[in-house]
Amino acid sequence: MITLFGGEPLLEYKLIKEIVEYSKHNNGSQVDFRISTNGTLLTREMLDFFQSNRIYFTLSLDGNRQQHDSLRKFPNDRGSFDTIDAKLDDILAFNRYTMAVSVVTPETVDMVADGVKSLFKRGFRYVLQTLDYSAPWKDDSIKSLKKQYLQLVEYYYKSLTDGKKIYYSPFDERIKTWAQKPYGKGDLCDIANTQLAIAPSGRIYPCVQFIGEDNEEESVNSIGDVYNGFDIDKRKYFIEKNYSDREPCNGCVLNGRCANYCGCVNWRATGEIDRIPPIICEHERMLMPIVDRLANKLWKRNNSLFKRKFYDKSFPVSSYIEDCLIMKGGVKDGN
Amino acid sequence: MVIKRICKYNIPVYPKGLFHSSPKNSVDKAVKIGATSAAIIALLQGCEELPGSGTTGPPPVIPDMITEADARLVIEEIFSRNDIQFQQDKTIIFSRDNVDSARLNLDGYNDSLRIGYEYISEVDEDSYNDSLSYYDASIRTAIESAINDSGPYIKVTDAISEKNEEYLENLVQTFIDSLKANGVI
Repeated sequence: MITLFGGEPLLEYKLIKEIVEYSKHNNGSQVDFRISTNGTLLTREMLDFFQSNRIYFTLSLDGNRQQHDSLRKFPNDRGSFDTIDAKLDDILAFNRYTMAVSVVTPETVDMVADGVKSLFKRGFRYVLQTLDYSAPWKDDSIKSLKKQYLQLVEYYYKSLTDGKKIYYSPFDERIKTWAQKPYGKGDLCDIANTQLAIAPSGRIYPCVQFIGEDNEEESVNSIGDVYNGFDIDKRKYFIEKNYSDREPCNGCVLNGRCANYCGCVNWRATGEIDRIPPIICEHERMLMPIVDRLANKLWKRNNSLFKRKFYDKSFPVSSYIEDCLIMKGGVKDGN
Repeated sequence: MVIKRICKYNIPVYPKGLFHSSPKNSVDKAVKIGATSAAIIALLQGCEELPGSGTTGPPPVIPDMITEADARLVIEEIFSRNDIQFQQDKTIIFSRDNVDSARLNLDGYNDSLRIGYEYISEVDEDSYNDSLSYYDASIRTAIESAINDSGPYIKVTDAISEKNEEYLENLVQTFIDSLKANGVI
């Protein structure tokens, strides 16, 4: 799978078309393309092209207008929410499973609950939300975030009770680490190994987070380039570092369930792949009990959607079939 | 902010590890062909008996839990045999050196002995009031360590299956025995 990212990849839409056509000609349908976009440049023509070529994208969208426009602005300082909002009907018609990707900072923490709810109400089914771990988090911000999560717990519980299929990554992923299996090494962050990033210069990096300005100074983090191949020793270094134990976490009962696995996040925040920023630990210690309590309640209430989501192997397919049947029958489901 | 290992944590009640990964990407690939193919493959995968694989068939059924009212009867009966009575529904401020202070809404508390209990029932779980701190790992750990220290001596119990009333009785009796051993009563 090739994910096109930026900056903003749609600035090079013509190049994207060339890449896709080239790949089709040389590889048939073996290569899947994904795009991470802010959506501001999306057009009907682009959506048609993506549809024809089964190219899906994630959309950077921070909740509601207030939350989104506080940080995601055009060069003229105007917020970008309205521009994206005008395209959302088309985007969700193109792919109702389009994922909204939201980043939380200390500045936007008080808007998280309303923002997430508004995304689901707008029609998104998948919301992937993460913290900006390199931001200056303080104890007050974590306490505020906790209150936001507690509001979202009620929303999530009610949604599943009403049979509404939603995915909210802070909750779903942590429930999975208990209900399904804990994270193993390389499961979600496999930098330099099965996961690579190629910059416009042709340099290969362990992950997109290492690219920076892609200049000579930052090329120290590159593990080769497309012209000469891999620097084997450097690549091995990054893989081994990412696979190494997170020493402060040894013996912690949440190890394997928390987000200490991500080498690139660690590197961004601390400068070391295997050194965890305290904000991750603080966040996980706060969030995990909240999520487990939610899951306990759903389990004890015999919530069928909860049981299917987390314990039924065929759920992704059966859910998709359900959705197809609902749409065919002209009935709108809770989403 | 600090990195802090959690050594004690309330084990989740929802089942662990019942789900196991399916052969890589087979269902994902099948979805591209069509929903029917994907459904057939998913169902066939469900029939596999791989070592360590999860079960298929009806999801597990949750047992009924001892209600709060019944739990109080059981717990207070055992304490009363040891001449300990409680004030009902008492709120205390719990504080220890290494945790923020927390308001604990206890089912029962004896002010003079500083002994109390809380049975976290399904009704309690419906309340997401911030003052309910029992799911904060650091608070929970601190409550347990206080039992072996200078108190207060609070026994916190998660909801227990109604088929396991004897287990609840044993928990309470063990707690009382430890209080006696430590000279608290």
